[in-house]
Amino acid sequence: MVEYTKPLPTPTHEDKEFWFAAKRHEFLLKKCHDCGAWVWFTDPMCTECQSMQMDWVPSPGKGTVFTYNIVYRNFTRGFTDEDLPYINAIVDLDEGARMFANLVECKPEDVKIGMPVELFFEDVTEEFALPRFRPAKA
Amino acid sequence: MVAWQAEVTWPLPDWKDKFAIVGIGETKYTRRSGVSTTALGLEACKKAVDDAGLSVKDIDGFIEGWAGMGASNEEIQNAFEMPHLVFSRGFGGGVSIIQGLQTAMGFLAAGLCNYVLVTVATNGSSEFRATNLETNAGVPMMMQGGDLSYMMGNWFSPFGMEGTSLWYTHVCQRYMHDFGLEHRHLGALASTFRSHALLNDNAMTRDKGPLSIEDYLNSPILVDPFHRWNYSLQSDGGGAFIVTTAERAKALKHPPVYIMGIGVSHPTKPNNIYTRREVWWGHKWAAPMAYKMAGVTVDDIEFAELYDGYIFVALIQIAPLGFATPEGAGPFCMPEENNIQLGGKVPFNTHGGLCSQAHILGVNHVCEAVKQLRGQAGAAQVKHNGKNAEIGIVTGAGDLGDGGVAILRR
Repeated sequence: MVEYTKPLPTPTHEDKEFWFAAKRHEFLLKKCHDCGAWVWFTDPMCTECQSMQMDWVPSPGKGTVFTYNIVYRNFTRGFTDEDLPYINAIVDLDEGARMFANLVECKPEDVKIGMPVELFFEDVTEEFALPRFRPAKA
Repeated sequence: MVAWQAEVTWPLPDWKDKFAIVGIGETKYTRRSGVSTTALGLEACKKAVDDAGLSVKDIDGFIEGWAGMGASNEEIQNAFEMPHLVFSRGFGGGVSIIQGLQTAMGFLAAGLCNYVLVTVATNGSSEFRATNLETNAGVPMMMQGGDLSYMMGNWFSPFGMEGTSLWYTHVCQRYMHDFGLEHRHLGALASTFRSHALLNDNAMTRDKGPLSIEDYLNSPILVDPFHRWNYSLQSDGGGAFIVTTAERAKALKHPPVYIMGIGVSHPTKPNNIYTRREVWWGHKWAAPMAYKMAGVTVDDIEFAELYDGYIFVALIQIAPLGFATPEGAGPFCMPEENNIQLGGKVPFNTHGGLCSQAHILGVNHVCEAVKQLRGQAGAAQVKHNGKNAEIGIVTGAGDLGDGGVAILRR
């Protein structure tokens, strides 16, 4: 594989289940065991009920764009001008959770709030796969 | 008197038996916790709240026990959902100066001390430059303290989300979608701030000439939807101010500038830009608190020094401060409305702000507000009906959306 220069995640106690599943190209969401609210990957405690018991549940990864940005000037170590432009998308998944990833296979002029997208995984190194969104196939 | 014990010759407040500890919480103490410091902090905090017989919503004050060391204030607030906080002290970023003012007032009110000095300094141009990736390495993580570094390290950096404009462009994009904000509105703000900086001897852009709305629109988009002139300056400099009681102030050199009201608050999900459900920053709570304490309304405000880490950061405060509706905030800034420029209804950033004077982390906004209220603002002096301004606002705004508002008067 070509040398990968971009920063890689450091799986933490709270989000390592996500990264292990990502390597298998499986998308798992974190859910509060006690009240069922969605919990962000790095949060140890549920905001709705303050429980610290979590479950991991599979998600089809389908949703719509809540908001986005498009990067034309690089600010991130390990990224280069060859990566520009790229799109970041915050997505409302159909099941109500929020997710984030780069939106690929989409021209900058085509990204819209509300557009349907689907999540997939891209292997970037031997150890890690990153989530990506792409426009949902009709 | 012995050499190893000082003789206390200075006054102390009468605090004996006036305060009490009512709840405690501890995690198991181990060699290997198996969880993050945030998890440990949350467990201990929840236990303390339960031990006191309170609920998390009863907690209206928060202090980070050891700044920058695990279980940061925003991680705790994220889990306890605490926009109702009246006081919090921890890493605050751009709201730190207003937090500092509020902390000073608290200790003065309690009689702990007489004169509180608040300061900040930066070499944001010659040393740490946000645009220099070498000096920037690792700083986004350090700046946020505690376990926010995992959020940054795992969910920002691998995706190319480093740098504050990467976070706030998401908010601006949504604000534009929900409320019709246009690029030319942001251009109007940037243009007005520059026009004020041209009158200021200590403004870094004073020799750069005016910035028109066209100049703003023609500048390249660095991260959509931010044009280049949405960004603030990178500066070296420092500022400071001293706070005391109204009584002591009267005996000193200059006419006092009184704090009528102050509020500091945080958005819901303060450390997470992805899961937040609404665009609003902490000003949504901080502004009403400041107005209520001050007993004034937005109609009494004669100028506003708005923390403008980005032009958009100033914009998102306009509706919570009561100057306009969310949809009206953009049009409010257009020059033909004659609101925000000197000579208008309520001039904004009379020194040029972080975007056109210098980025000194918001302390320059406090200094400018004080100069205005002392009648020392020179060519930028705000007057209404021939009289120097009597009441003004200064704000702070921290990553990822903390808000601070102070209402000052002469």
